[in-house]
Amino acid sequence: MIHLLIAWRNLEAKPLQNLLTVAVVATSLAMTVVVMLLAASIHYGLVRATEPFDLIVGAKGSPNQLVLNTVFLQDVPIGNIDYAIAGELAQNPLVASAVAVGFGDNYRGYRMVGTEAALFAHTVASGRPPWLQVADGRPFQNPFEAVLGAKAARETGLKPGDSFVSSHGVVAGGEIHGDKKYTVVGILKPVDGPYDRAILTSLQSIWQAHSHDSAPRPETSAPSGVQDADEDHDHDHDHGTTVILVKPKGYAEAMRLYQQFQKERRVQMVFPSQVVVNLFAALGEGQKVLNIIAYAVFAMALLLVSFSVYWSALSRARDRAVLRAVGASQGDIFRIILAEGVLIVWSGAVIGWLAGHGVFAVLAGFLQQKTGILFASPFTASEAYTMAGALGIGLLAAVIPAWFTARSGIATDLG
Amino acid sequence: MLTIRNIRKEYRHPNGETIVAAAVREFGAAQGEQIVLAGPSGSGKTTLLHLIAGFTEPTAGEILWDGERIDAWAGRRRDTWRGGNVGYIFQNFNLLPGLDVRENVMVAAALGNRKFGSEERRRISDLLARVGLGDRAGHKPSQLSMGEQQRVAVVRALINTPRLILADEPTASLDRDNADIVLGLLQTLCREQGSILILATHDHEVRARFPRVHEMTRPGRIPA
Ligand SMILES: Nc1ncnc2c1ncn2[C@@H]1O[C@H](COP(=O)(O)OP(=O)(O)OP(=O)(O)O)[C@@H](O)[C@H]1O
Ligand SMILES: [Mg+2]
Repeated sequence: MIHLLIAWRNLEAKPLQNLLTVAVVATSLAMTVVVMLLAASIHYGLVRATEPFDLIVGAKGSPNQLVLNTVFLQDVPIGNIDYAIAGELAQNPLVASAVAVGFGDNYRGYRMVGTEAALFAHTVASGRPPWLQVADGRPFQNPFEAVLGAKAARETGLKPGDSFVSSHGVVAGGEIHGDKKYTVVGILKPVDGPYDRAILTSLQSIWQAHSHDSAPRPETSAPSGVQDADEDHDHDHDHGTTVILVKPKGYAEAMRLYQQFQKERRVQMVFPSQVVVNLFAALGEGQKVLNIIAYAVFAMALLLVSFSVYWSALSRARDRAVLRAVGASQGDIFRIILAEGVLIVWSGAVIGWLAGHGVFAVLAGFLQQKTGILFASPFTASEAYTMAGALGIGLLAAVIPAWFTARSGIATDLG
Repeated sequence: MLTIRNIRKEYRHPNGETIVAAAVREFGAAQGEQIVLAGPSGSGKTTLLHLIAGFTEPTAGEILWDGERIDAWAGRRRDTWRGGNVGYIFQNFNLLPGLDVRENVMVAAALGNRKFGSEERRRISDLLARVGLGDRAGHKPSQLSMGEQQRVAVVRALINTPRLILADEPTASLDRDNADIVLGLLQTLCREQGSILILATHDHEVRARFPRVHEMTRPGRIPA
């Protein structure tokens, strides 16, 4: 106790120097914690968002864009495919279910997702309850009925019975389909994913919303009805869709189906989880770099602690000799200097840890708002290890100056 | 009971010369004795006090405490012995500037005596009151006069009721009145506790107040 008191009084004597040292330790640890929490929660959020999507069939092009658009409702749709393919897939003996989904319109930036009633029966895994469940109201049945994702409903304030007018394009501010009014018939339970921001309606609604627009255009290769990536208006009535969500009957069936589609000319088939894994690999590299920087800053912070404690101990050589003269042993001196270092490092570590969680909470809130992906902050084992490591290595940083100062003589330092 | 025989402390100068800092053939102090170490500057008074307290080790000779060779003890054992048996008072007080008056005394009680409880707490208050600083316990040394600081140092030295008090020119930084107060307190408290008091000084008035004087002589140098 007396050691702690003397250590504390010594620290008090140089408040600025010591607070600065604490701040450096805290900053470096906060950095590490933020990087770690972000990585863990992005991983968790992406995996969770991808779970409902076993296989996606869409237009040829970038698989990343296809997944970004379908799973995360980001980026522009890649292009349209023939709606008839959904029927073909449904007949395929390897397929348990195939649901067409078409993008193209939005309401105040909330994406209109044209789909089929079968989507409400879609499950993440067999035996689990359906992915999308209506919390209030009912699923859509007729054209121009809409079911809002939990967040879309909360943020637009729309309730069952309300109506709204969609606009063209996947982002807010497109041409308004003035004559076609949607009526809200239901609101979904939260899914903690991007689809909380979706507005579901039938594919027919979207086809019809676009059919009034009779600008004569040459036939394009892709049959259309929903919007193309290039914002082109193709409004022929060979109906199209953007993607087909395919649930294979099992793992082996998924692999065989994938093989079959390798030869397919009209469309591509992707495993979203595969795309996300590749994304993690890229993110992992970034995380490594950030971690190395954070560790380097932490190492420098500890070095600073060691030197700072050592130097202030040097400047108090006389006080130390006096302590020895009134009865302190070398062990007492060691404990006092150790306590100084430990007080600095540990308070820095705890402040840094709290600050890291604070910064993460702010960032997570912002990113969740932006992406719809859930940014939970799971307490991971690696975070516990990092904290334990920081405290342990911090102890070492405190031992060094304590070791070097404890062995000085009394008579010489009384000088 | 302190006994010193044929003790020498030498320092080797870089030019090869050997400086004899202190040399004492025979010196003894019985319990309760109050002795002045006199002698000109450089005669080795401080060095001798350091040797007795175990701050440094003699080059030759013996220091015995109750018949035991304390100069031969390992540092750790000497630390423990010093903490329990020695109170040291410096010319320039040497209070710890970051600690208040009570804490300065507390440090000696907790580190020297290895125990600190309500009894020690009460003793600190009693002794501070005794030296007229009962109301200054929460003040920092910088808020005290020199005489007051030295009175705190006296309390710090006496807090563990050590059997041996070593005082190195404790009044040299004080004016006459304060010197009298401090010296009076020191002698009275040592007598009450039955402690040996060995006090180095070259002040004749101080010297006159002690029944026994040990005269130190300049030991000199040995050329290379
Ligand atoms: N660490 C050292 N290295 C070399 N010489 C030393 C050392 N310590 C003391 N001396 C020398 O030893 C001699 C005795 O010193 P000491 O301080 O014991 O004298 P003193 O009697 O206390 O003098 P004063 O009355 O001035 O305080 C001096 O000549 C001093 O220079
Ligand atoms: Mg001296």
